Amino acid sequence: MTAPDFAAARRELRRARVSAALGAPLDSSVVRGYRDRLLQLLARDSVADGLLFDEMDDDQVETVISIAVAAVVESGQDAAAVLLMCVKVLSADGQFARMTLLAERLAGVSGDFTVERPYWQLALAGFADAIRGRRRKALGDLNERLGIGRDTVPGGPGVRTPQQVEDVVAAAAVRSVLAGDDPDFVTQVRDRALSRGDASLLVFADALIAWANAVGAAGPAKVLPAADGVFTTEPLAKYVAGLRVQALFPAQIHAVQAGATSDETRMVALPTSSGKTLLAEMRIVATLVRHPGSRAIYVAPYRLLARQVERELRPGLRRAGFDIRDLGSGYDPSALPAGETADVIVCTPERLDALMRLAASSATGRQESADFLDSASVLVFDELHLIGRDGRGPRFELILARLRMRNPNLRVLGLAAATHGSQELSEWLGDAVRLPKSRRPTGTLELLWETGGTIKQRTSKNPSTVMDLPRKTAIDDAAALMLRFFEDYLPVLAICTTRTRAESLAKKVLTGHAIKGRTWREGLAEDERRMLANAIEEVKALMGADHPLAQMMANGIAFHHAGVPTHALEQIEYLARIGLMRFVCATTTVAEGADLPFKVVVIPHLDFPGTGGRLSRDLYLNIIGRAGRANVAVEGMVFVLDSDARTLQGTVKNQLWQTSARDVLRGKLNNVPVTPRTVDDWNEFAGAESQLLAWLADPSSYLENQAEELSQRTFSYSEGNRTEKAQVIYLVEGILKRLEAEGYAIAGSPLKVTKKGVVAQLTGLSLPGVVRLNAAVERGRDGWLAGLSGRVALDEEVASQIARLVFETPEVLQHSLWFRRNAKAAAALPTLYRFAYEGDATHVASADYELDIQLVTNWLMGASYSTLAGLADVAPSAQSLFGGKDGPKRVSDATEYIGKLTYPASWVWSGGQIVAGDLGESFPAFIRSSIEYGVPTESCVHLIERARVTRAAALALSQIAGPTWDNVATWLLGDGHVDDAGLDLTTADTERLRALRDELEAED
Amino acid sequence: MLPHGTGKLSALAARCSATVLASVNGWGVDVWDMTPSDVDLAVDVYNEVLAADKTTTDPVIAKLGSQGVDLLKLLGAPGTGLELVTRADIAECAAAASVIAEDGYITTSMFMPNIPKMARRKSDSGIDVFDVKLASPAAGPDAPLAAGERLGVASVKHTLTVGAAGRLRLDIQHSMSPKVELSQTYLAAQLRVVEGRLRNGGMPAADAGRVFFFLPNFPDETWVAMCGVAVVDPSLRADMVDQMKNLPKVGGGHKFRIVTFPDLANVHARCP
Repeated sequence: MTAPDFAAARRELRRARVSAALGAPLDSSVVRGYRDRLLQLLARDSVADGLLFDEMDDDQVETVISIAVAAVVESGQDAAAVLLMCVKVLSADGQFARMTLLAERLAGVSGDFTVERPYWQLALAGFADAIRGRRRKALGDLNERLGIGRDTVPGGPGVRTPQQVEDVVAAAAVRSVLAGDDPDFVTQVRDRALSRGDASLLVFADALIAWANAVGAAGPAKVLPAADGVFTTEPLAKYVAGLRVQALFPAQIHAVQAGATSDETRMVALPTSSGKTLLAEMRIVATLVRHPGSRAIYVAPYRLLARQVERELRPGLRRAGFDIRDLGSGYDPSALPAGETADVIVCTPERLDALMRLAASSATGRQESADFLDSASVLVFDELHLIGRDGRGPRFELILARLRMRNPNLRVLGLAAATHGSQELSEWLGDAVRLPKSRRPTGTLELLWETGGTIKQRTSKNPSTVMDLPRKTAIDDAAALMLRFFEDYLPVLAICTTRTRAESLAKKVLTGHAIKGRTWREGLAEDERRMLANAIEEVKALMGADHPLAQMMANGIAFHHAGVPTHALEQIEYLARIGLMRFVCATTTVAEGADLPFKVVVIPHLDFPGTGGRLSRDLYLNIIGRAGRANVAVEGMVFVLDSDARTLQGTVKNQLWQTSARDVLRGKLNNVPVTPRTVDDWNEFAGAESQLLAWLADPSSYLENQAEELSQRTFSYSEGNRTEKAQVIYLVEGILKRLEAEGYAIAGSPLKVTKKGVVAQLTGLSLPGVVRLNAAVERGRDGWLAGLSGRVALDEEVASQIARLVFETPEVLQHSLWFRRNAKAAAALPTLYRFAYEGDATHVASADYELDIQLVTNWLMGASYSTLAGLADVAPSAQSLFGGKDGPKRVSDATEYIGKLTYPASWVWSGGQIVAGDLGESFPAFIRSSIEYGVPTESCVHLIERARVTRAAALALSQIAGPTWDNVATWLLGDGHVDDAGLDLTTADTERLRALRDELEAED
Repeated sequence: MLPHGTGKLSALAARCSATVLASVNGWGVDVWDMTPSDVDLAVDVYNEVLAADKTTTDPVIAKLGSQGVDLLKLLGAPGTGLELVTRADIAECAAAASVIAEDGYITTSMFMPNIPKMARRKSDSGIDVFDVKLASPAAGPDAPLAAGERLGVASVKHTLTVGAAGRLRLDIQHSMSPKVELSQTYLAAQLRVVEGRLRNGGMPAADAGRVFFFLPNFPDETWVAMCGVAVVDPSLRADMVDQMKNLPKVGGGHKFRIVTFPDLANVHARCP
């Protein structure tokens, strides 16, 4: 007997899936041949007893998935049998996400029996609904169709055969399992099937029993109380019963059993899409119940992620009796609202940093911040693996080190992607428990389109050929590839290296998609068409009626990058989330943490900026995590277009597809140069310097051997080798000496901050930035700054002064038009140094700088992006910022330019308030947000923050109603009418304003 | 195994004596001409097979009522539907006796998924008798099949219609063909029943699981014996025999049996 080549069958079935996705399906009989070769394995696995979550090896999982999704033409009975055997095997392994998607297929197959075997259809559909978590619907349908409690029964077969009786038995078995009214019934049904030799019923009953057992074992009501007694207490028993999942993923179960909800510090590294947020929610509610009156902090490193987390956590926390508040994303040293602090706050690391600095200061709000931090009983830090990234990584580890020194009893729940060195993070946090490795809830097919035209798939050994498709240029090829995907594989995400490439790709996709796009649009349901139209209307209002993005969106296509206003990005993400986007061409803005339902990801180029000029493994792992997330697809597909450029050759096979036991995570603090060589270096050094100054302001720094004490608590030191440890100490010692030499700290025993240092640390800015800012504030102290008190609106003069003030710091200046045009490459750092440390002011007289001032002034006064694009001159190089006359490109340039400025500029404005001392306290609070949103009045700021209206709507309403919030509230409640044609609002804005009006009326 | 009637079935098998007719394209062809006494015994087998089902209160059916599921309301009264499948079932009983007698099937372990006929509609594939011989203890759970281990598969069909012999021969061929009706999926599901019964019979799970080793390259003649059985009225015997020359080429290990069944047209009337 020759053993079948199972590996070859799996490989060929993968090839068949990829071919089918690309619109070239293999013949059904060929696919069936490979599928049947694997049936022996499935059948054998399907008779195994017991539950062993996450114990199957990868080949077993792939066998099941390959069989389940193989495109084979066969009878409904055979299709159902295959799916049911797959469900049985996946149940035993706890593969709930994969099962959910197979259940969709099962529901489809059930339709084959509607006429001739209606109760078999009912049984299959009911089971499919149950697997998909629609327990209530399934039970309702079963009760109705089985006539329970009813006099008449709809839809029976009209004849009674033994087969129809068995079908009723099958349906009754599902009903019984869901109702939980007779635990033995389904086992008796199985025994009956076996004794009567009814293979269909046996396969069905086996799958049903296995699924019910798995859900029972993985149900939150089983797992949580067993692992953590707090879930048996009155307040949480109800919470557990109301959890929105019927079963936890194995990775979540492992984490809970390892104490993720306990009062210990835990590092949980879960595969992408494994439900980290739910785990965090359970930890938070457990902690807050155990420690009444305490608070939880959830740190999310991205604004998009913070918003998503807040949205996801809110319902569960509310059921547990807790409230949550998003504290915003930027560095904001303003005080917490007194008496309004929520039980749980979501914030970025920078916002947390600001709270810690405020708590260590003597400024207004110090006590509230300190109280808040003191009351925190748990800190959840999401995406903690980012600590190993250049840029923000060193800041993250210093913030965490400072916080843990300040609050030594604060327990941490670290969350990270499983692929990123969780062991090092565990060691650093002091978590001795090692979680078993868990499988991703869904799989990924990784494919490489070689320059020679061969598409190869990654396998455990050598890549194998899928098909040949001739190559041309990367963008053309990527567009052609995306357009080939069969409908079932949409939406597709392309991750591009630059925004120019993202737009270019989107245009090409649009060109090839015009007819299909129209057909797609015409096929949308009425409400879908309305939602699409509303989103497009908003984008037009933001970017201009003729902007190509709007036309693209009408065809289900979009580009997504930093040159697109945030509000428009949110519309694109929203449409993608509800299935109204087919192709999104993005830069890496979408790569980190976004939970959007893409099935396929295409990477057209490998020359990503940073990290040696090519796609890093770290980023690649994040990107592929976007394809086929749980509840989206059984598996995602990732296509990388290879490059034969000398510097990129072998990147995929030798680096991205490298199979190693695990990725080791290294800290980056030891790499922060004491002598910077680039602007990025300087930013990292200045950031570290600011962090150390903040630490010195906190009493937790009052230690001997300060440099060593702080160093030892950093990740880079803790997990570094001897050299790396020495580098960290060298850096910290060097910075401490500088702080002392420049008068920010004073030697004693130990080193403490001076009065100058206290102010500087609170700003969170670089030290030379504070010096320049201080000088600028002094220049305006008796002039324009003194006149700010009581203002509710900016005029052009004040806006111009604000623009000049924020450009006084290196944080903002490095993003100015002047700097970008006049301090390129090798000249960049020297220019920045002269500005930062030598008081250089050569930029002031330049036309470029004046244009900077003009642009920011107009931004503050409410100018649209297209107006800003029109104000800017035409740069000589078409590729550069404001280069060329292409309108949409210039709008994108304006968006990107403003996008890079507003975050540091609003931060600098807050710093200005601090260095201005008592005078700063008289500055109107709305100005910080005015800078961020580009609006000149208090009413605009409130409208955007409270009603989330677009900038255009806020400006329009402010103009009609007046500059104060009181003006707007009065107008909404009586003087004006939201539907006033003169407002020219988008549909969505009108709805938002109506909601705000209703809210105000309720408050009234 | 049949839940009831195995004694009578063995008795019928003991009366079976098939005559070898020919060897055609890898098929061994034989014929069993049943006598009226054989038919009487076949009727007894049938009645016994079903009798217990009718007298025993099935716990599952009983529970349906307590759960509020009323079969009468859902499906109507028994016997008002398509229960006129008696002829097919009794034909299967006769065929089963023949494979016990001629092909070494074991009465107590063989498995007849379609008695009483219910699982599949006429147009679907359906194997009527399975018989498995597996070593226990085996050399190991992954030990390859060895000498003496075997899967017997029999497909039974009948006809009364003059001129339908060709169609019957073709239907049997198709029902045994993996490329037409005998799908691997169907077989895998049936073998799960066999596996379950082997375990229920006391065979260790590791040994019983080897039953799925019959699936690859099915039907591998080394391990699988296929038998098609055509049950016909004696008046159709000549037509049926004549059809044997049209059997397709197979690698060997296939049998085709003709069973002539006196008064097949009216036999259902003798069964309640």
